[in-house]
Formats: sequence, C-alpha cells, structure tokens
Amino acid sequence: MKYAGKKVITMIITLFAVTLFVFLAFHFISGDPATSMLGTEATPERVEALREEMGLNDPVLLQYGRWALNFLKGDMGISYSYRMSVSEMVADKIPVTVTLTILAFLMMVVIAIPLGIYTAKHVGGVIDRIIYMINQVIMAFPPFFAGILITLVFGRILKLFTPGGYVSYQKDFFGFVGYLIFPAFAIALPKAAMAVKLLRSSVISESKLDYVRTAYSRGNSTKAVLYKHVLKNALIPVITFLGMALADMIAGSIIIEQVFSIPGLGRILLTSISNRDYPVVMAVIVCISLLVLVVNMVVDIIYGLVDPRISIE
Amino acid sequence: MDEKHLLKVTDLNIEFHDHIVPETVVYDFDLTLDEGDIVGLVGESGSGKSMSALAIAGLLSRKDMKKRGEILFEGVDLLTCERSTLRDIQGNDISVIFQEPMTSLNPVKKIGWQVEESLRIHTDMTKEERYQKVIQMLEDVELDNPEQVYNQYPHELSGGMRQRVMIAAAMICAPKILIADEPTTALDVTIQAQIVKLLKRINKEKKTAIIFISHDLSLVKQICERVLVMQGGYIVESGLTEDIFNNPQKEYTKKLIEAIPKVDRNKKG
Amino acid sequence: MIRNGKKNYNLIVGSIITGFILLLILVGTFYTPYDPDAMDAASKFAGVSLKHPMGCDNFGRDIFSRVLEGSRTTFIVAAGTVFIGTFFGIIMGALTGYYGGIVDEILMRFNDAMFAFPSILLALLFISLFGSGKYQVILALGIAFIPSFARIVRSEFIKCKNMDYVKNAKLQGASNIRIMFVHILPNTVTVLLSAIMIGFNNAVLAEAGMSFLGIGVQPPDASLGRMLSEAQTYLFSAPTYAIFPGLIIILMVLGFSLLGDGLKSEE
Repeated sequence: MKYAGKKVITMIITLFAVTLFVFLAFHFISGDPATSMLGTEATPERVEALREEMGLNDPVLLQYGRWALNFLKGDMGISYSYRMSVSEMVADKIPVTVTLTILAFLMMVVIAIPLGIYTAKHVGGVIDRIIYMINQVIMAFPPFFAGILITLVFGRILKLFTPGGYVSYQKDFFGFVGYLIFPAFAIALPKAAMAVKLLRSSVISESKLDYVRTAYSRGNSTKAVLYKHVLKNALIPVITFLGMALADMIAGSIIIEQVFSIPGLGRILLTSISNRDYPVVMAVIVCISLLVLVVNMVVDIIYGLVDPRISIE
Repeated sequence: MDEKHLLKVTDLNIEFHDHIVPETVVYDFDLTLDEGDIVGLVGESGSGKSMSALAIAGLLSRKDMKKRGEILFEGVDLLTCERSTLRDIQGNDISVIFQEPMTSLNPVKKIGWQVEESLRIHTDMTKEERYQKVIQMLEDVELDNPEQVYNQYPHELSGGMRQRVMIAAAMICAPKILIADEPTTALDVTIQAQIVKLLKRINKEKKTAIIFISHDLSLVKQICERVLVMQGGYIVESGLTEDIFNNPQKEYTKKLIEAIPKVDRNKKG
Repeated sequence: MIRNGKKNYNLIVGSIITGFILLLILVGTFYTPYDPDAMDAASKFAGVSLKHPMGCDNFGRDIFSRVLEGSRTTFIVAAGTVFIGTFFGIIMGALTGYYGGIVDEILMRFNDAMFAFPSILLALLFISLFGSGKYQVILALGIAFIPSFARIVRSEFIKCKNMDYVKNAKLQGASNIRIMFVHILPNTVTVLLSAIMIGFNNAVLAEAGMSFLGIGVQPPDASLGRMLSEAQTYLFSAPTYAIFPGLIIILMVLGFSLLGDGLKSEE
C-alpha cells in the first residue's frame, strides 16, 4: 500500500510538471490571447482592458496557478472560435474516446494473450511461423491505413457497418458501441501483434530459467508448468507493455476517430489546432495527459501486485 | 530384472542433438543405489556429473538428447517408460535440489505454495493437511518461524534459508532418492556445513538415498560413503570414499585430492 | 548470415525490402515518369495501366510519380526526426548518465514525464505551436523523440561508466568529454542502432499519421500520409489510390523492423 501511495504521489507530481510545461509552452509561443479573442481590428485600449480583465498582466506562475485551479474546478476557459465554455465542448467527447480506447484495449488483450501463449507453446511450428509473418506485417501497418482497409472491406464491400454512420451514445448506447467495434479493431490490431511477439518471447525466455526445471522435477506436466509457473512470470514485462500500449491507444484514437468520422477528443483537437483555438487545444491535451497518467499509475500498481519483488525497494 | 536395488543405472550414454554435430556428454555410466546410501559424484564442470543426475531425475529433454542404456528405478526403466509414469515418480519418489536456490525457486510464488506443490500433485491431502505438513517440514529443515516463511517470497529469504526451503520442498513427499546437484556451491562456507549436516540427518532419519554431486572433494568426504569420480563424460574411478582418498588410482583423482586446501577455507567454493 | 545451420531470413528479407525502398527513393529523386504535381483532367481516376502503373488520382496526377516523391518526403522527415532525437538524446543521456547528481535527477524526472506521454500527442502540441509543414514536423517529432533516446543512452552510460576501461582512461588523464564520447559512446552503438531502427519506424508512422490528419506535410509537398488522407474520400471509386501509398509505408516499416530483428539475432 505504501508502494501504491508512492505511485499516486509520483502521478500528481508528473501531472503538475506536464501541465506546467503545456501552460508555459502555450503562454510563450502562442501569442496574445486578448488579441486572438478580439481580432486584429481591435483598438490597443480595448486589448489592454481585456488583458487586465483576463489577468494576463500578472506574473506567469500566478496565471498558471489560476488556470490550474480553474481547470480542477471544471472551468477550462472560453474557446476563441466558438465563444463557448471549453468544458462544455470537451465534456461529452471524453466518454467517446474512453469507450473507443477501452474497446480496443479489450480486443488487444483477448487477441494477444491466447495467441502469444499458443505460439510460445509451438515454437518453430508451421502456425507459429505463419503468425510470426502476419505479425511482422501487421506491426508495419499504420493504424489509419488499417482503418481505411477495414472501412473498404467491412464497410463498403461486406457492408457490416455504415462508414460515417456514427450514433451518439446519448441516443443509442448499443448502436454507439456497435459502431466503435471496427475502429477499435483498427487500433487494437498493431498493438495486439506487438503483444503477441512480446508474450511469445517472454514465455520462451522464462521457460529456460531454473525454476522451470524445479517445477518439472516435482512431477508437473508441461501444461502445469506453463500455466502455474511460467505464465505469471512471463506476463510481468507484458503488463508494462500493455500499459504503454493503452496510453498510445488513447493518443492513437485521435487518428482513428478521423478515419471513421467519430466526434471524440481527437476530432475537436484537430479542429482547434487548425483554428489556433488554444484554450481548447490545451484543455484536450491536458485531458488526454490526465487519462494517460492515470493509466500509467494503475499499471504501476498492478505491476506491484503481480511482482512481489517490486514492492520492496 | 534386478529388483533388489532401489536404483540401477547401466551403460547410460547421453548425446546432445541440438547442434549440427551430435555431442556425447556421458559415456557408459553405471550406478547402483540402495535405501539409505549416500553416493558422491565428483568432477569438474563439464565432466558429465550433472547430466547423469539430471537423466536419473528424468529432467533431460527427450527431444534434443539421445540416451542409451537403462535407468531402472524399482524395476521401471525411466528412459523408456510412459511420461505419466515418470511424472508419478518425479517429486514423489525422486526429488532434486539444485545449485542456485534463488533462481531455482519461482520468484512470484509464495514459499508455502512451492513447498507443498509435490503434495498437490501426488497426494489427495486437503488444504489444511497440506498446510500442517508444510509447516512441519519447514521446521524439520531447521527454519525459524515456519508460519512466517510460508507466506514469504524467495527474494525475502537469505541464500541458506532458500536452500532449506528447496530441501523441504524436495523432501515433502518423503522420496526414496534425493539428488543434490551442487547444493552448497552458491552458499557461504558456514552455511555449507549446516546444509551438509542437514542432508546427513535426513539420510539417517528417513533412510533417503542421496546422490550428492559436487566438485568439492572435501565436502564429499564429509558426507558420502561411496564416490564416483568423473572426467570428460567417463567414470574414471569409483569405490568407497575412504579407499579412494587413501589410495587414489588415477592421476586425475590424485590431483583433485591435492586441490583440497589443508587449512580451513574461507572463500566460497 | 548463416548460424546454427539456419539462414537469417529476417536479415535477408529485411535487406531486400529496405534496398528496394531506398532504390525507389533514389530513383524518384532524379526521375519520375510524370511531374508529380501535373494535373490531367482526362486521366482522372485512370486505373492501373502500362502508362500509369498505379493509376491516377482525383486530379489525374500519376500516383506512381507521387508515391516516389511522397516516399522521399516521408523518408527525409523520418531520417531528420531520428537525427534530432538521437543527437540531443545522446548529449542529454551522456551528460546525465555520466555525471548523475541533482541535474540528472531533475532532467530524468522531466524525461520520465515526457516519456509517459505518447509521442504523437507531444508532436501535436508542438505542431499547434509551430504550425504545420515539412520542417515543423521534423522539429516537432524530433523533440518528441528525444526523451526515449536520452533514456536509452543514459542507462548505457550508467552501465559503462564504472567499467575498467573507463577507469583506465581516467588514470591516463583523459578528459571527461573524451571519456564520454571517445571511450563510452562507441560501446553503446549496438543498443543505439536498434533504438534508431525502432525510432525510424515510429517516425515514419508518426509522420504518415500527422500528414493524414492534415497537420503534417503541407501541399505542394507530396507525402504518403497526405495521399492516404486524400484517397479516403475516393476509397470506393479508386481503391488503388489508397492501397499503393499504404503498401509503401508498410514495406518501409517492415523492411526496417525485419532488418532490426535480423541484426539482433546476429549478435
């Protein structure tokens, strides 16, 4: 539990560092928000008045503190382009991206773990080699290209779903999840291929260790050795990978949302990047970072539970 | 055939087949073992002593290694019997303890779970019975606080404690043969002596036959009544420990004996 | 290439694929069958033919010529990214790993925070600040890649700095800079090389992804990712428009990853 507490503190510190970094980056590079809001025709007096009103003349760290505090309270500022509350714009996008990522993650685990174990059990066999080759090719797939091919094959040719036929989760939750299945598959596929490769090599290298010989010497069958001894050890590096993959998937969903026209965080991030709508960009980036950091923390804690060697340092 | 002996190994030859050229590592190995025997297997690394022992324990891959000869345990040839028959014997009648107790224990499983594993495989004991037995066994190998050790992980124990745990796990089903493959090499000298004493006591009290493998002749002298000296895959000399020490026939054996420091050693073997 | 009687197929196939891609890029630098930007209304969506081996796009531009140009752009961006990432990663990793101390502690905490961050997100952040375009992408991705390289170099330096040859060099009066870059650095080459291979592939995928999103390489530069994004609209009427650029990306990444795997098993 001490270990878990430590991880929570690390996460909070990292979150602080990341938000400060993001804030400073935008503060120094993005130009004057008051000008952005009023447009270039505004008189210098009006700009100056707004600057004072927005607190832009205060020291930077004070501005950061105010921004962070407001953020925690759920006030993410006002969008330059839409003149509406950023929180409102972002709030209903988060469940979309989160659902998409969770679906993709589940698919990855369901595909990768059995396949990884199977290939490790049959090293050098025909199926192992075929899976190895398929894996290599899939890992080279850009996720959006996988998305395009899936649209082409499952959407246009097999007509298993309607490309662009996104349903809002508020209207029809099952329709919503149904539409997300293929995008999630596109996100999951390359990561699953990597996970299979990693699990396979992890099982193989664990199987060479001394404790496996001990397990055999007690009369365990090959199956019992694999499932009762090797697997838990072999999963330890895979857990780290799965955590990183999950973080990558949250970010990767930005691209896949574009391919399948899903209005999630990615969509809004891209629009605001091209509109130079910095409050929205900052809000989305901080939201995604928060998700990523929480995922990392959870993975670290799980890691500590699985590997008894970790919790003492 | 020869049902009188507990274990009778005749003409064992072991060949590796996982490289391009097959490589023989053990030639014409013979050994008989009866209840209560302690036999030493001595030689430098690569002499084939561990290979022979692993073959007796049924731990050499059947695929990559070719074996000729016979390993008769109570009349059953371990080289040719069904795998399930072999598994029934492993851990139940023949147990092994290894050189490196840290890596030989599963790092992510509790000690109790590992010690009672053979009971789970070979007996119908209930959970409670197994627990009692494990605690008793841990006490038997002279570990303090067995209840605490039961719930610990290997990395939380010292080297000597780990090897005691290994011995407890190996002895839990009261096997007829215990193969000890360099059980003290990775340990400090003082701990070495304790482990050797423990093995001797087990041998006396439970009548367990022990095959004690070591490159350290002085240890073998302390514990074994008979010795087999191996070199380059061959048994070069065998007989009663006393005879071999007093009157070694082969140059190699003489060298091994000379290599024993006369004064107390205080370095790791 | 032969070990234990087994051929190193990874290395062979990887070399062939990478060689093929490099050849395409080299040829494309000096010669393309058509001007990649020349539009020709008459051959709009022309199918695969001898005249246009990969067909034509919505403006009647020759896809093969555009693929040649696009793979060059993608390659240059990836190479530039890896260069920036490696260069600054080595400096940062070497200094922190070699000297340790409080600076190391702070820099590495920061680095860990950045590492936990998906690099595409970091790149997006920089793009939204720098604007989009070929050089901005190189800069954005390059910065985003520094932490991972710094991490690898640092751990190698920590491993090496107490080795005997380093102590020896110190005794002979070699300066710290000399020890770092003349004595230790060459010993990290194998690890660095495999990190570069992986980094290159990630850069290819990231560039393609960003250009696909329309915030990477901008017209008139052709890029494989941009082509795919344009092709998506015409997916059903002209599937080859999407398939060929996608295929080249896959080959590029596949070649390097096979090469990396092959080199690893050679060691």
